[in-house]
Amino acid sequence: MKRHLVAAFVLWHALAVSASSLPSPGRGVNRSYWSEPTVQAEFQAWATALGTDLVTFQDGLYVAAVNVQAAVRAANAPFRQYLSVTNTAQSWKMFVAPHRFPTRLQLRAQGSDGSWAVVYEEGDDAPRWRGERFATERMRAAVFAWGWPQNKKRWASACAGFARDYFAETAEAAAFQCRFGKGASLSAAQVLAGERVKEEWVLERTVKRPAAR
Amino acid sequence: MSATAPRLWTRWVGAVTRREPAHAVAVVRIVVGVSIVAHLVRLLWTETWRWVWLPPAHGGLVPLNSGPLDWFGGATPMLVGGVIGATLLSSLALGLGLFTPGAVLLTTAGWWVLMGLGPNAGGSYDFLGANILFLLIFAGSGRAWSVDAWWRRRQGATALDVPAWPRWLMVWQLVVMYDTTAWQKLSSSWVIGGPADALWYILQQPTWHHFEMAWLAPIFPFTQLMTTSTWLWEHASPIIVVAAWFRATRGRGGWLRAQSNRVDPRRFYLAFGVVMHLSIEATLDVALFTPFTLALYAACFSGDEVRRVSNRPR
Repeated sequence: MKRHLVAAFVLWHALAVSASSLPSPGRGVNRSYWSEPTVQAEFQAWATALGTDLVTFQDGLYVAAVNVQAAVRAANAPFRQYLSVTNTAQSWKMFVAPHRFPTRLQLRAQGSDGSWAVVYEEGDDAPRWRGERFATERMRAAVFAWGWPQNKKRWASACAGFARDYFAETAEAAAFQCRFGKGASLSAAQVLAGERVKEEWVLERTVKRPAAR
Repeated sequence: MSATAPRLWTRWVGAVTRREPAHAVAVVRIVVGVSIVAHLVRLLWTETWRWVWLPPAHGGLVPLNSGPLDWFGGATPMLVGGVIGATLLSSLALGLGLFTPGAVLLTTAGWWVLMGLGPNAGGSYDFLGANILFLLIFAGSGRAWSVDAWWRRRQGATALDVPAWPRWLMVWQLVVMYDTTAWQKLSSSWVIGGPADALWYILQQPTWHHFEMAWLAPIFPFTQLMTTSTWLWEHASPIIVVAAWFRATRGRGGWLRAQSNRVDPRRFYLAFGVVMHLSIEATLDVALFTPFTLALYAACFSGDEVRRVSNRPR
């Protein structure tokens, strides 16, 4: 009897993790993400490949995405409790599409003379306030997520946290600024032609030092 | 039909309840335990844990997800520090194979608490770690290459075999992970017929790379080749489970089984995987994903096979 129970459990677990891993659009059904230039570039490429216009492609894709999402949810339903209790729910959306308009974090502090100085910049070796923390995998993931406008509340909270820590260490800092440089990644041909990434600053937030009590 | 179903079930029961030496799952245990130790030490050393696993009121950056720590009054530095400390000690014990059943349970619980705490501050390695740890609970991985096994031998006891099914579920986990990620790579940059520039652009993302990757421009066609190879290779992952199954059932006949056992496609598939994962590790920061995935590679071989390789005279 025990052997049969073990065999049934193995089958159940294999089915559960398979159902949990089924490809699904996830947050992709949220159309607010679709205005991102990376997403628009991807949709345009597919619309062109399929010989249709962008609007028709997006409308069709939305209907398909909603249906797929519902089907995946139904397939998962019998396993939801099990996956939750065993902490074995999973999703494998790993590098599903390259981010063609990535963001790059920059933190600046304003001195008592009013001038701004960069204290941390992603990818730059020179100013490195808390560089060892930003280099960890968990902070990289968080910074990546905060570069999306949908996470603006968390981004505001994170920036306030950076400012709090910086002010605690640096008495002369009058204000602290967090922002992302956003620009289209260059193609290999553009790199070979000597072009450089053109960035604009987005999601800029400035925190003033709280008045002393 | 009526006779086929019971026969299939009987075969299934026979297959999944086999036993084997613990050496393959022991490798998984060691790699996972040591990797978690290294991960937690880095987060402690850099004090990053305060930013990602504490709420703003206690020095963190963003409000945390609700979770089991709420039952104990919330994520205070003392409580989160205690969970990290306990998980660090248990994962060290897991790597050493010391009190292995308790160590794997404690590490699984600690990982469950920590991975759910910080919003945005995690990745696929959290899922993968949780799934491997769950299977290690049943794997008996402390019965080889462990302090526990050494102690048993000192007491004069013989080595104990372990059930093979947790290892088979690890293989399945690997296949599911590779194949479903490939099915989600629907970008025109990945699929055949597109510009095959996915890898090029991913390597240009400042968030993940260790250093500037524009130097790859002169060898862009190589990145295209690797883009398509990786996509096809991920899709081909069921080869692992089929080849391992043919290996485990070599007594049965069939031309395909015989050819698979002669060539052993696992070796080629996994060799490509090792090169790919080490290349990713050298260029991008994908955290524990590399060691966790490579740990599962050991599970693609039976306990007998792993023990035989380790006993081979040098």
